[in-house]
Amino acid sequence: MVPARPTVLVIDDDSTHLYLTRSLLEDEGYRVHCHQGAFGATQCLMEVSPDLVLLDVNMPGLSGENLAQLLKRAQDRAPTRAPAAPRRVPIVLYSSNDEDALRQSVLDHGLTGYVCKGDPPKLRERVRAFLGRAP
Amino acid sequence: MLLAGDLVTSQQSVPSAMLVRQLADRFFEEPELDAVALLEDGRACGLVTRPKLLLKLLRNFGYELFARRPVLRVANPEPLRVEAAAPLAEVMERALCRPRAVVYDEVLVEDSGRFRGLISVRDLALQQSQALAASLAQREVASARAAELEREGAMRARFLAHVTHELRSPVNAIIGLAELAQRAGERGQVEVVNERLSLLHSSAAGLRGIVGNVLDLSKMDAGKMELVPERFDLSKLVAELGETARVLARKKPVEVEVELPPEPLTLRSDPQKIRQIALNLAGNAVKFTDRGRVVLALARDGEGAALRVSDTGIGIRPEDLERLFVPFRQCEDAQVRRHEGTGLGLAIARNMAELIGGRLTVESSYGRGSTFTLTIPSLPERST
Repeated sequence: MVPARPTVLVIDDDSTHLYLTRSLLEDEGYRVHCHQGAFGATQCLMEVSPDLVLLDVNMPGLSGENLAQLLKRAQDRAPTRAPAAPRRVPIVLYSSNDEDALRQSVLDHGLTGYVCKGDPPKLRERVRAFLGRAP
Repeated sequence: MLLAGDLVTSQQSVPSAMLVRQLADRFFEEPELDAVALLEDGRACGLVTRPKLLLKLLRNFGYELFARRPVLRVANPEPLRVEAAAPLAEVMERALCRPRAVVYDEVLVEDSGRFRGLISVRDLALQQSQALAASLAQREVASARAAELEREGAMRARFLAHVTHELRSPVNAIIGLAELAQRAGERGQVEVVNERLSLLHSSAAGLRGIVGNVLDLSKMDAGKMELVPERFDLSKLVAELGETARVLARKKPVEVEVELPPEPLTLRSDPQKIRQIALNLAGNAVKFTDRGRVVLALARDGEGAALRVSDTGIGIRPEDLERLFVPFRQCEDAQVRRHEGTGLGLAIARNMAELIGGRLTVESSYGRGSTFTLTIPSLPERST
């Protein structure tokens, strides 16, 4: 059986960055789902059931770190519809913030990792690494 | 810092040859006299305190024994001596380290051997407690200042972090879009290239705006922004502004209305600055209004004018009104932004309003709309 193409959920308030990330990842062969802004993101996560979440940090209303906590909690609470044990989707911060600040946030909030915006090759490399497989 | 010389409370002295009887009479006559120094050629050779002397004389046969002797016989020949330049703390320490019998005795103050006066230990303690209180108060002031500096420093750091983020974000978009455009170009997808180039263009334009804002703000911060006053027709400027606002609002069900006074309103001020302030106000009004009206109303106000920009938009919470004009107001909690935008526009607008001698104020009712009012005085001729 050929595994389905991995799905990446991108959450960002900036439409240009959403467009950009979508284009970069789709070019790689991933399935990409974009969600603009922090609100409604948990709902979207449950619906899309992605293999990886790329999460912007600076969003109006709710920070990426806080949203990450909500996303994690939403997954823990979700009824186990799938027969397999509920899995936690890796959540990766994707931001224009300082690398040090991102690393700290990842540690503080128990997230999977981070990627700095503005470096497409790095994005491709990290996404592949976080998913553990090529698209 | 207090020195021993400043603390001298009495300069009472008697010649060492004086008889005990005479000194006793003085102590009886002057109830406030606590102690005297015995002097020989201007140098102190002993100290007599009231309690010690009276105790000696009141003993059995004490008066008979000592009355006709020179005072040196009943004096403490080795009282504590300190230099006038000794600091209070040192005097206090030495005074209290004395044997118990003489611990409360007055202290002799000398200036290179010459008698300067006496300090009472009670006064010393009083002075020291006062000095302590003063230094505590000083320390409190200092620590409050330090806390303030720290707060300022933290705010600066936060400000810098935000500026950095605001600059980086479009730069990153530009880099990514450039790469994407290139890729699409390699594949010969002309339409995709164009789409990406136009996004790249708008990202770059946004970046230019942010850079301009940051520069404006730092110029104002350094007091380097200059006024270029001239006489001009403000009505015309506001009318043009109305057109711009209409363009900005063209995709929304928002009406832009311009109310002008019946005759042209000319005054002397800096039209560029006014345009920038008013454009910011009008832009915000359109941005935060989904439906309804944005009104630009110009009226004469004494020698100058008042421009009112009101909208039927989302309004501003009362608790946010104060923060509105603070650069990056949304960074109060560094992680959470409340609204789109860099949060620099209104800070710049208010600074510029002050620069032209006017004021920028706001009234708002949350959920109903906001009204910003800019007063524009007419500047006197030849005042730059």
